[in-house]
Amino acid sequence: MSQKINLSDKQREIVLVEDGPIYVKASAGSGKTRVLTERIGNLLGKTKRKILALTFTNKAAKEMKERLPNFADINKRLFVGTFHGFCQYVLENHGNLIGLPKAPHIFEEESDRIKLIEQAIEQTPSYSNDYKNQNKKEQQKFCYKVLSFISQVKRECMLEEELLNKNKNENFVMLFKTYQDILVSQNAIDFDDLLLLVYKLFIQNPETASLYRRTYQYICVDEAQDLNNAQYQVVLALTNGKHKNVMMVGDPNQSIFGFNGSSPDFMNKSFVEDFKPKIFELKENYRSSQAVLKAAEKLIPSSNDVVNTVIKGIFEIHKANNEEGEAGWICDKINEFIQQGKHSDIEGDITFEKIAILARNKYVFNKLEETLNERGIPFYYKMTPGGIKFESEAINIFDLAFRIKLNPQDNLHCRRLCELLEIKYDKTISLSGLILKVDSEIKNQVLKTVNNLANDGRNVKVTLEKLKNFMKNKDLKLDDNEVRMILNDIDEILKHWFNYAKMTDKKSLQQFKNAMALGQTHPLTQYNGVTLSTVHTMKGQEFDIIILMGVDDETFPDYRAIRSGGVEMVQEKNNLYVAFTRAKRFLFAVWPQKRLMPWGDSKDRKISRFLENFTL
Amino acid sequence: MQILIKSVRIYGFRGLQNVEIELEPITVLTGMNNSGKTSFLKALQVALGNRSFISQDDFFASDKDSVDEIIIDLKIISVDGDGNQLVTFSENWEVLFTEERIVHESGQEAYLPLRTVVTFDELNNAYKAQQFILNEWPDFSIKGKHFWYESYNGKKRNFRFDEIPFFYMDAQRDIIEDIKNRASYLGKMISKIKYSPQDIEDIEDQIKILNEKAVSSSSVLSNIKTTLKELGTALDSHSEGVDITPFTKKIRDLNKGFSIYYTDNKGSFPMEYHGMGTRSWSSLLTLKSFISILDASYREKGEAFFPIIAIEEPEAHLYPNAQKKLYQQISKIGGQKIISTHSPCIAALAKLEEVRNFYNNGSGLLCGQINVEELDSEDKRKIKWKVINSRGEIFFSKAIVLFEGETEEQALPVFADHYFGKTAFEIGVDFVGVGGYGNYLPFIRFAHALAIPWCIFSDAEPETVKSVKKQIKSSLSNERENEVVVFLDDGNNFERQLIDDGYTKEIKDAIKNKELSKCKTKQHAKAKQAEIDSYDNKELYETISEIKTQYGAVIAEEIIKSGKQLPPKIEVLFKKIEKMFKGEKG
Repeated sequence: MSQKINLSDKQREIVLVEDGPIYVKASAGSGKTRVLTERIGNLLGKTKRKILALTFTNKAAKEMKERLPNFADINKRLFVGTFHGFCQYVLENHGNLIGLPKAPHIFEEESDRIKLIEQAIEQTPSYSNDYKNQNKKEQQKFCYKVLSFISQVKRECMLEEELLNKNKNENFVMLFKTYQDILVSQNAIDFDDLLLLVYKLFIQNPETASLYRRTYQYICVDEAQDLNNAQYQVVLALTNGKHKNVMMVGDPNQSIFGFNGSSPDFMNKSFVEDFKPKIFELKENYRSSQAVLKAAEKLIPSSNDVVNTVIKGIFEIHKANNEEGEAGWICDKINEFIQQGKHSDIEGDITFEKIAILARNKYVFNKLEETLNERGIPFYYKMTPGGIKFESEAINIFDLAFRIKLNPQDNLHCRRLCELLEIKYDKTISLSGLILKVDSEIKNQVLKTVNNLANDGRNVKVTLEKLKNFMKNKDLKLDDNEVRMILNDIDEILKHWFNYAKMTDKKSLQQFKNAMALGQTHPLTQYNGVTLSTVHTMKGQEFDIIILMGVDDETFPDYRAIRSGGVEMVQEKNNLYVAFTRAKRFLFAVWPQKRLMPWGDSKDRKISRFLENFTL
Repeated sequence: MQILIKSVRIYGFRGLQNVEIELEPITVLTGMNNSGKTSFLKALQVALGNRSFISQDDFFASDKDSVDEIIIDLKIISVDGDGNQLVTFSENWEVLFTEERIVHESGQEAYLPLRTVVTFDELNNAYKAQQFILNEWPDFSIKGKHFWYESYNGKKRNFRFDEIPFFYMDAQRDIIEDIKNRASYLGKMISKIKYSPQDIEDIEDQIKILNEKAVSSSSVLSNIKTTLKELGTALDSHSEGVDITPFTKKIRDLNKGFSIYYTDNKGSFPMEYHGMGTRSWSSLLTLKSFISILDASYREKGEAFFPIIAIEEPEAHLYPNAQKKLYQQISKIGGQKIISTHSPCIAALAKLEEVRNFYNNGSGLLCGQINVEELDSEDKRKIKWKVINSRGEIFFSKAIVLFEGETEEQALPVFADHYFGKTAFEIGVDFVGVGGYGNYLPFIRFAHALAIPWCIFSDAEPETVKSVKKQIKSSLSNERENEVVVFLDDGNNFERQLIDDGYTKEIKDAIKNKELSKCKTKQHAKAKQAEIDSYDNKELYETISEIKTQYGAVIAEEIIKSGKQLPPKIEVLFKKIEKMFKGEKG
C-alpha cells in the first residue's frame, strides 16, 4: 500500500466509494482490474468483515489475487474466486441444510456429463431403441442437445414442478429427471447444480443467507458482462434487497461467453433496475503508451485505440557504431533509468525488473552479456520451460543418446535418434547396438562418449573434455562454424553439470537430467534483474521498458527468412510487431552499424528494412 | 455480547464413556471422588487447550468395552450479558468464527458445532487430535440405539482461537512454584514486564546505590568484599574487582529475586511461611490478574475475548469461612468458569441451575443437573433455603429422607443415631422437612437430578396419600411409589402413630420432662404429674401437636431410653435407607 500509484481522478473516485451499489462500465485497458484491486485494498482497511470478489475463470481469480496489495491475513478476509468456486464453498459449509450429502462428487467435465446422459437414455426404454439406431454422429449431437437443455433448465433456476408446465418436449423432461436420479444415486451433483443449489439454500434458509450477507460486507463482480441468469440469481438471493454494497465491473462490448446463457443485460439492465447503482465510466486506455502504439501502428496498421490512450511514453531508434557500442548504449540507458528512479509514466520505482531486452535470437546477446557483467547490472535469461536446446547436430545426438542410456524404454527418443543416425529403428535396439551400426566417425565418437559416462557422474568432466579435443581434430574436416557450435554446446553441458554438482553430494546422471529439465541447473535461474529474452519466448508478457537490440537487417528479419521470402517475411514482420507491443511505456530499438563476423573481420550493417521509413 | 459453551458431549474419555453436560456461565461440579469431575475438565482441555498429556490411559476401557477414539463435541452459542441466548453471534464473534463454522438453521438460534477426535496415529506412534465443524448438532441418541458420536464428523477445521484461551488450575497449584516456573501464569506475566530504557537506568542506578550502601554500612559485607579482592591478585586478571550485590543487580533478573510478602496484623511474612491455603489461593488470584490483563488488551483492540477457566477444587486447603468468599471472587473473573468442588460452602452459594452432580450409576459415570425450568420461583426458593440451611451439605448427601413436618425433623435424627450407631451427619443422610404434604415435588426433582437416593416418610391421611402418590408420578422418576414411600398406618400422622404404637408412657415422660421443670412449687409439680398421668390418648395427642417443635426430639429420646423397640414404621424407613446405600431398590 505504501507504493505510490498514479490513479486518475475518476479511478480514484471509484476506489474510494465505500457503501452503496456501483456499476463501472470499463473499456479494455482502462485499468479496471487495478481499480477493483485498489478498491478491495481500501475496503479491507475499513471493515473487519470479508469481501467477496467473483470472477469467471480461475485464471482471472488468480490474477486478481496476485495484484492485491499485501494485506495481513488477506486469505481469511477475502474470497476471490469464480461463482462456481464460491458456491462449492457455500455448499461445503451448509449444504446439509438442503439435504446435500456429506461430500457430493461434482461432475465438472462435459465428457462426464455426456456419459451420464447416455446412461439416462439407456434407462429410458422408449428412447433407447431409437437412440441405438442412430449413427455415432447423430447420437453425439443428440446428447449435446439434451445436455444443453439440462444446463438451460438449471441456469434458469427452474424448479422441477415448473419444468413440465413450461416445456412441451416431454422426452427431454423425462431425460432430465432420469439424469437427476442418476446423479442422486451416485451421490453427485453437476456443475450447474452448484449455482442452483446455493440459490435454493439461500431462498429456503434466510438465516444462513443472512449469515453470508453479514459476512461479505462488500461484493464485487468482475467481467460482469458475462453474468448468466443463475449467477445473477445467486447474487440476488445473497443480497435479498438488503445488501447494497455490490460493485459490478464490466464492458458491455466485450461479452464473449454467450453460449453459456450469459448476457450483458444482467449487468446493464437487471442490475441497474434492481440495485439503482451509481454508474461510472472508464474509457481511458492505460495499457499502452501513445508512442508505442503509434510505432506499432506504423509497422502494421490495426485498430489500436490511440485516441483514448493517456500516457505519452517514448519510442526511439538508436544507431550504434558496433556491437560494443550497442551494448554500452543499452547499459548506459539502463543505469540512467535506475538512477532516475521515477518517471511519471511508470508506476512505482523503475527497477531492473521492469526492463527487458529483446533480440531476434540468443546469440545477439553475446556482447551485451559481457558488458552487463562488467557494469554489474543484474540480469537473467528468460527460458522456455523444459530442457536446453542444443544447436549442433552432434550434441543433439549426444542428448538423445543420453536419454536412452538413462531410460532404455524411451522409444520416442530412440526413434528420433535413429532418424538422426540414419539407421532403421527397431524396438530391440540398444545404445551399444547402435555404436556397432554407426559408421560416421564423429557420431560414433559421440555415442561412445555417452556410453562411457559413469552413472554416478564421476567422469563427466574428463569424458566431455576428451570429446572437445576430439572435435578440434583438423582431420575431421568439419566446418569452422560447426566446430564452434559443438564446442559451445559441450561447454553449455559442462556449465550445467557444474551447477548441478554444486547442489548435491549424491550425484547421479539421472538426477542431473531431471534437474536440467526442471531448469534447476541453469546458471541464471533467479528472477531478478533485467530480463533478457528472445522475441519468441516473450510472447504474452509485457514490460514497462523494452529495449529491442539488433534491429539491423539480416538479423531482424533473419537472413534465412530474407532468402526464403514470402510467408516467412510476413512472420518476421509480425515478430517485430510482437516485440514492439511488449512495451507498455517505453520502447527503444538499437542496432550496430558494424558486426564482427566469426572469422574476425567486421561487416557493415543496415537498419532493418521494416524500420527504414521510421524517421526520427 | 458474549458466547457460551452450552453443551459438552464426551465419548470414550477416561471413565466417561458417553455423557452430555450442559454448562452455564459458571458451572459447579459436585460428586464423589472418582466420579468424573476431573475427567470432564481434562476433556475440555483436550478440546480447547493443551493436549500433550494424552496417553493410552485416557481412552475409555472397561471389562466389556474399550474405545479407539475419543470424541468431544462442544456447542457454542451466542448470549447477552445475562446469559440469555441470542439469535446471531455479534460481529466480533462472527468475524472470528467465520461462516465456515457457524450453523444457522431456519427459525433457530445460530451456534457452533465443534468436534475434537483423538486417535492413535500408528504411523507417527503418537496421539493425534483433529478438529471438525459438524454439519449440525445431532440428537444425543436416536431411539437409544444410535448416538451422537456416530454422526458424520463434518469438515476439518481447527477451532483453537487465541481469543478463547483455556486455563486449567489444578488442585496442586502453589504460588511458590508459580514464581519459580516461567510457564506459570505469574511467570508469564513477570517475564513480560517492560520498562522504558530510562526507567531501567533509573531503577538500576538506585539498586546500585542501595547495594553500595548495604555493603559499606555492614562491616561484615565490607570485609568479605575486601578479602575477595585478593582473587584479582591470585588470578592475575585485570578485572575491576569484586561486587557484592545483596539486591538483584539487573532488571532482567527480576523473576529470580521475586518474592511475595503477605502482611497481616501479626506482621509480614514471605509466602514460604504461609500455609498451602494462602499459597493456593494466591495462585488462583494471579490467574485472575493474568486474565484481566489479557482482557484489557483485547478490549483495547476492540476484539472478541472469552476465556474458559477450569478450576479444580478452589477450596483446597482453605478454612470454611474463606471458602465462602471463593464463589464471589471466581464469579467476578471474566469468561466461562467450570469449578469442581467438594466444598458444601461453594455448592451452597452457587445457583441451583449451576450445579452438576457426577455419579456412578453402577454401569457408568453420569452427570445430573436440576432442571430449573420445571420449578417455579417459590419451589426454587424452598430448595435454596434448605440448601443454605444444610450449609450445602444436601448436595453431597448419600440419601435424603423427605417428610412433612417438624416433629419428624427432630425425632428422626435421634432414632437414626440409635439405629445406625452413628450420627446421621456421619452416614450422610439428610432429613428434610418439606413443610406440608403438597411440597414434595421440587425436592424429589432436586434429588433426582443430582442422583441422590431419596425416600418419603409420609403421613397417611387420605388426601395426603393421594397427593403424595400424585407428586411421585408427576416427578417422572422411575421409582415406583412403594419403593420410595413409607406411609404411616391409614389415617395417621406421626404423633398419632406414636400413640397408636403404644408409646404413651414415653410420651407422658417427655411431657413431664418439659412441664415439671416449669412448676414453681412441689405441690404444683405433683398436681401436674397427676394430671399428665391421667391424660387419655386424645389429650396426649393435643398436647404434643400443640407445640410440635418442643417434643420431637424429647419423645424420641424417651423411647430410646425405655429400651423398647423403635416404632415399626421408623424401622421400615431405616431398612429402606440401608438398602439404598447398598444400591438396591426399596
